[in-house]
Amino acid sequence: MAYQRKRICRFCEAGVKYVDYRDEKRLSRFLTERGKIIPRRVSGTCAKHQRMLSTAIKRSRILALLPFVSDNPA
Amino acid sequence: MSELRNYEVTFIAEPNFDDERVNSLVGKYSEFIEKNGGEVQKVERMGKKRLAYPVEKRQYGYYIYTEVKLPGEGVAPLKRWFALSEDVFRHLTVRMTDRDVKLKALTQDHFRKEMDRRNAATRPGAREGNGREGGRPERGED
Repeated sequence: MAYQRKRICRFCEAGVKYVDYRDEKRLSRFLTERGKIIPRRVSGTCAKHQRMLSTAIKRSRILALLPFVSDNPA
Repeated sequence: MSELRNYEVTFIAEPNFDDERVNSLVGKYSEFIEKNGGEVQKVERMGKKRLAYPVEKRQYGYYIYTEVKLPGEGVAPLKRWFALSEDVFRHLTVRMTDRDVKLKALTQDHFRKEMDRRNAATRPGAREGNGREGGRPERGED
């Protein structure tokens, strides 16, 4: 795998202060096709935003906006 | 009476509900909140959406999002109310601290401005800062 420079957190870049659990389109970008949460070592998200993000994703899953697991790669 | 707290309550009703049944459900819900010493501040019908996974054999659900003020003791009865309800099959109550509320508003405001700026940039001569309330319906809006 090619070496990639550490990117800055996308949320910090965009000035996000709160990650909304109802915004499933945005959140789904941080899931693998199987529905797992992408680790921050891969996505480059900072610790603070990854924490908010994971809570938001989990809430979103409860509301069936996002899958817990997904068989069909979206 | 203990202190009122902010909650975001989202619930999912049967997908085949028409406006009338949704109205009646929201009415009953508001009544319940008020009976428990709270007040409903915002109701947003997100409408019929496809579920990410089947819930009790349903593929779709009618999403209703609300913001309420409620004393902490009101939450348990609310959950029980949802559990007993035949119309609602999924619900989520999230406590919003004052900080959460502030940060969320900040973020939404930020995106609204960002969108406006981008619109102005891509469409020169387009509206300038006449503060359209609500912004665009697509991404970025809450």
